[in-house]
Amino acid sequence: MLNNQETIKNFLLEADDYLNILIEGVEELEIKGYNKETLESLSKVAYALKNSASNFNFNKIVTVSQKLEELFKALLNEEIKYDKSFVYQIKNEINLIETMINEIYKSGKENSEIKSLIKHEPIIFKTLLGKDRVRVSLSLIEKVYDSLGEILVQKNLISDREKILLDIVGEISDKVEKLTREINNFSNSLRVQKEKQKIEDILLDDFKSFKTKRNDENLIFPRKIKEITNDMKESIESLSLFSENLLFHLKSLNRQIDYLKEILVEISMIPIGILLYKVSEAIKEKAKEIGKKVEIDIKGTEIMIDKTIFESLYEPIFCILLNSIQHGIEFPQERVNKGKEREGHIKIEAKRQGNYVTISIKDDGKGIDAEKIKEKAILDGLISAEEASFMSQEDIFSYIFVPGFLTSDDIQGDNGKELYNVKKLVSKINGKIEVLSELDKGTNFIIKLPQSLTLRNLLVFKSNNLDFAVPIDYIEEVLMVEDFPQAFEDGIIRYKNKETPVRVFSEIFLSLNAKNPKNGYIIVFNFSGIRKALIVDEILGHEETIVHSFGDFLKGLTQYFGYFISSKGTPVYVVNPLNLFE
Amino acid sequence: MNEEKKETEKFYCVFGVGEREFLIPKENVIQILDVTKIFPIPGAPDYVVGALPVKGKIFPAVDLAKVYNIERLDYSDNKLLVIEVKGEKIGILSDITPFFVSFESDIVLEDFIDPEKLFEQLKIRSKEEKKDAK
Repeated sequence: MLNNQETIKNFLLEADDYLNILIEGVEELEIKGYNKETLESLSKVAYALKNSASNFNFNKIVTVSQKLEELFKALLNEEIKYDKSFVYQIKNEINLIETMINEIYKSGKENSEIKSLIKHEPIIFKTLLGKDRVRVSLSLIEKVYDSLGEILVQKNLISDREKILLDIVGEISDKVEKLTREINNFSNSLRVQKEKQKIEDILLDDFKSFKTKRNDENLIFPRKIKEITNDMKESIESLSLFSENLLFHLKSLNRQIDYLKEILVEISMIPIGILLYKVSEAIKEKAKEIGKKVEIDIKGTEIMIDKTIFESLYEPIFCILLNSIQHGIEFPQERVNKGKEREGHIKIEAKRQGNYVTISIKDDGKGIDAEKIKEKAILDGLISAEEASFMSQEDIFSYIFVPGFLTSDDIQGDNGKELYNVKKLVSKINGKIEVLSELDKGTNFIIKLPQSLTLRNLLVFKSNNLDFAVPIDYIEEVLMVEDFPQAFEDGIIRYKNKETPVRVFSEIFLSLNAKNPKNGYIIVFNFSGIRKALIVDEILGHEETIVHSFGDFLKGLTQYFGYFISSKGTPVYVVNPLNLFE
Repeated sequence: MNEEKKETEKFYCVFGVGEREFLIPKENVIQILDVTKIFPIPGAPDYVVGALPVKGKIFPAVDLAKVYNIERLDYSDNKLLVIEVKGEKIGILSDITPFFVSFESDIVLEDFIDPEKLFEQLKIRSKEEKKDAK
């Protein structure tokens, strides 16, 4: 069912990662000797490899990795006594898996036979065949990032100077132009004078010799100046040609730097498939426990995401799926009564949209009753009945993420805390979550994430003469204070039938008495459906750059994600808008 | 003779805050800078005077006068002593130009600063950490 080329490629990538972890683990075991921590992670990886291989029907790898898993577990539970010879045995099995993976690379099939070898001689790992890959330590990648960060600072600096250079060249050529004109005028008037003089000379022949001499001098001087200005003109022309050339090269350098940036971001990325398979396996087990049957269909496994995001994504996806099988998907009998298939279906699909990755998780369960949420939101005083009638379904559903909102079992997900938690986890990695639902048809959670956390798109703004930045991911729009004259006093803006609370940045962030910035801007944030706005003095523009995180000393400043160095050489702090409103 | 001496001696860097002088192990000292441009970090405690950008990164500068409640009379000779602790750079404001001294290693020193302890003491704590501490 999953046997097409693309997915096999994904399996191989996955298997490669697992193999690397296995090799590292065994090396650790060899150095440290018996220790539960290593064995535990080894058994987990062997389990994961087994599952992933079974998805693709690579039965031999399944068998071997299962054997390994059993061995690790037995050692972990001290059912077998550990001695060094196990290391050789384990290495042997790992080598066998590796050989089979290489065979799949080449022919798509596992050809090697499984022989139960127990050799007591040291085995050296074969070099990985047919794969043009190397393992790189993360610290090295971080160093490259740091140096790229510096390059970007320099690049921005040069781009800023670019305009200055052009201005200077433009000005000089302007001035030379003027000078040439003046000189031309002057020598023209001299010539006219000379013509006059000639006539006079004819009349006054006596002084001829003396006057001609003087007139010649008068004529030589402007000619000399004219020559110099012509030279200058030529120099200016070559200068502007030179600067044009330079700018052209700068432009192509910039393109290369951008390209380098993109590649670097990709280097520390992992295909999302590994994660999605892992989560869905865990959920299938859970579903069995509670007596429900689910089929999980996964698409977009090849989408790459940042390693940090990858690591923080398991829990929220697990929670959403858990919510689905607990509260969304009905028991088989109930489903049959509703005319649905006995088996519940969950579709997980990852997609890349520009710099973002969306993960859609869709079940065909009970769905959420929008009317009930509306009633509850009115009852809890979150919205007025009048507002509720204007609200879009999307906005209504966003209330299920409000902490403590979901208490009734009638609405999908009686555990409101869980969904609130999902939102918090997703926000931590700068993502957003949305929910769509149709009663009795199913629920669709959509997570939208930046592809990388290191390279960020930022909006730079000014407040009290200090520069700050904020990730664009959260920004819905930017408005002008002059269009909302009441925003400052009311602390609220009414816009598009919505009321959005507004605060002044300098007041909450710099603890200053806020003045009403009449020419200021309102940045409207959207945190998974909940809008909040911030008044700032000035918007300076957009910047795509590498955001450095604070070291241990400054880490406690959780109001910031980190900082970057502007082209002026000053630090710009990147504000975490989520913590700003808390 | 000399080699023997080295083993029993320890080197320190002396810096001044107001009228007081402190000692810090020489190994931790990286460089001594003139106080040029320090950029404020909004939201940081008052003893963190700001951040210094160096090579595309920043490190914090602290003023121990605010930590130990030392009155400062003369601002004239302000230097920044840059130390490295736990792999991070920190600048400490000094009112004198720091200099190096050596003592016998068995002498117990007053006004000695243990860089790691200082780091732990001054490290900025998040709201959650502060709550936990209470």
